[in-house]
Amino acid sequence: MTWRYTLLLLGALFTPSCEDAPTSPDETATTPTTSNVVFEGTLEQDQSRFYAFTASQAGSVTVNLASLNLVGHREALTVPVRVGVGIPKGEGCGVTESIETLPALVSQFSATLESGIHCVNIADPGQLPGAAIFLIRFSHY
Amino acid sequence: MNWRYLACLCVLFAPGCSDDTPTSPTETTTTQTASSPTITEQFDGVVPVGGSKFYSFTTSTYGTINVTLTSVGGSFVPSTVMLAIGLGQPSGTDCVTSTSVNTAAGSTAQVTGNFDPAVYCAKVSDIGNLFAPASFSVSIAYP
Repeated sequence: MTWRYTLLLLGALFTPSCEDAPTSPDETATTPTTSNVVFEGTLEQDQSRFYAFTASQAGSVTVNLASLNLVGHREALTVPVRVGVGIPKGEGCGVTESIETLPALVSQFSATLESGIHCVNIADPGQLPGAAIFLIRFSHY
Repeated sequence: MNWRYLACLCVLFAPGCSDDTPTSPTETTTTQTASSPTITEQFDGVVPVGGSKFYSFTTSTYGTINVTLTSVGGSFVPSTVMLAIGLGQPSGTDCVTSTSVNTAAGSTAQVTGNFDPAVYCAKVSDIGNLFAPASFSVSIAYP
């Protein structure tokens, strides 16, 4: 009787079993990375300047005109300039959304963008008394 | 004796691994057909000595972009002077070119290629030949 049980046990032990147990799916969801950009330059009277950037995915862009002062002067200007976003077009930025604003410590403007190439634009609406040095901080996905 | 048969039957009917033979990947190569240019824009300007100018445009479909430096002129600027003409994408305050050639003005596109829909820029630059600002005309054709 013992050999019969032994035979059965051996048969069961050496029966091939399945491998490759299912594994948990890899969690590869990526957290969107925000890029912070500083755009500074000189804005001439009645002119505009722009900065092109690539949004890696749809999301918001937040723009802060941090400083604006006349060339050779340290005090902040108290005249507004127009800050906006758009898509590079021709020799400038084809602005789609904008506001007139004074420099501030907090962001004055935000907009939702699709992925792709966009631009941040600053323009004199006609009130600058002379060439001004500006600094814009903006963040985007 | 019956036990022996039973043991054999156990082995025979024991579950085996399902085979799941790997299948060949399906080859679904698709060939994109490049659309011909349907829009033409004229980019006129003045390139300063040692400087550059660029012009941005947006294509709506995969297709051919042709950039042609059609004329160069100005005081002390021979019409045969060679400039760099390039095609790329706007980045920062510049146009970062992926294709560029040094060429004199002509009627045949100096820069051409097939590109996905996106924002592009055509750029004209002095390559060290200018002694005075040069006026130029560039034709940009895209789908």
